[in-house]
Amino acid sequence: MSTAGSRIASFLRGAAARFGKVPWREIREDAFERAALVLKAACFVHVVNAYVVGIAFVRPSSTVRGPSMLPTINLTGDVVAVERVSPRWGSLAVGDVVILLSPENPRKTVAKRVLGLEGDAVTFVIDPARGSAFQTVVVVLVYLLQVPEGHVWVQGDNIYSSRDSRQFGPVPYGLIQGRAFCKVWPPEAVGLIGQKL
Amino acid sequence: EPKSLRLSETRFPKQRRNPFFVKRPPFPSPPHRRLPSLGSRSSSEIKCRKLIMGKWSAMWLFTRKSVTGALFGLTISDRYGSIVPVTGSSMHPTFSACDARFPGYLKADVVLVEKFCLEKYKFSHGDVITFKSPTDHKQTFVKRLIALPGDWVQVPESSEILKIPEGHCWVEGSSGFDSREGDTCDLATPTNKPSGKKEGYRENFTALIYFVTDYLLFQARFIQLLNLHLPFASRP
Repeated sequence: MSTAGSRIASFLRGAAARFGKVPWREIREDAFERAALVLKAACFVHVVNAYVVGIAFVRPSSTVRGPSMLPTINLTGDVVAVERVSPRWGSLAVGDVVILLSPENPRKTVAKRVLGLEGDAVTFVIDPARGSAFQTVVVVLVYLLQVPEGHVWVQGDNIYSSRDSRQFGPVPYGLIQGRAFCKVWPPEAVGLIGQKL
Repeated sequence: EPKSLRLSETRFPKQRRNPFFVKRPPFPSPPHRRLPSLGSRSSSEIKCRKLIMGKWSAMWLFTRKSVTGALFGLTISDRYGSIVPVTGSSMHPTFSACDARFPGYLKADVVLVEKFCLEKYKFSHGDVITFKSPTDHKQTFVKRLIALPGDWVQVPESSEILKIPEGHCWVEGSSGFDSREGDTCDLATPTNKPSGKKEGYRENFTALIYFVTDYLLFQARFIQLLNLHLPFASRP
């Protein structure tokens, strides 16, 4: 019993001495420095992503409705590079594909093409499937309206199956998160996204 | 006595990666007084080393530190919260009116805005929120949330009843309808009527205002810092 007790006591004493010898100050300084580096890297990534250019996985519809941006963006979605500089500078042009928050549900982001800036007059057909060639009396509802101040008109490329400004109206400019200018994945689809007018 | 190294330098003993670093002799301790040996570089030694550095390296250090600080501050204010002054008279009893021009805004109420609510867009009636104006995305307004999606509101001073669609909300300022032209709008509630901008509260376009933090990326829910009203500002 005494040997066990004395062994434990000597072990504890040795442990205390070793504890004192561990270079705690260096370890602490090292740990802080590395944590600071990680934080700086994270902040850098956030700032670049939010202000310069970011990568986003784009599913072209806000509901699981269908391919609203075919043929530009795939049915199941593409990974695109989104640049954040031109919406802030106000240098968006008609024909740009933009990523925006959906006005019907701000937690979803959708990709659409800008077809009208503020002050432009846009013409659109509400239901293009109705305007078929073999109707003798053409009853196609065509609307013409002027995009109000501070708004943009967005439409999907695939007008037959897209929920866009024809349904929810012009979208405030501030909802636009960025301009998708290039596809980066899958590798066979890499390329700039063109400006279809 | 041997110069004790930092733990990382025992394993990777390389020069610090500072392009302006010049090899300097170790800090000379004056013979009549010994510096306290703290096991590693003491802080006074570090400070003297920095003073000994040339002014270019000091400037480089300064730019590095300020870039780091700017990145950090930008990230915090984008994601978590920031401090903003409030100008305009539309929220009168809650935030005191002040000028938006030069000497006026120095007396503005300063508030703390937090952005945690933007994860799930969970707001409650009576919250004070900030949002970008639908007509001009560069202007930010401050108003109180009156109705959330699915609610019915009666448009003030008229007898129409509106249902707030999904993704939208209705905001109003708290000081009634006496906003002056040029101040922030009392009712940022655009309606379909083309009645122009008179009296600063009806605007002439599309639908109801969008759910405010849609395009807002930042700012919602004030907690007043300097007026001692504290979080009760969010309850009507």
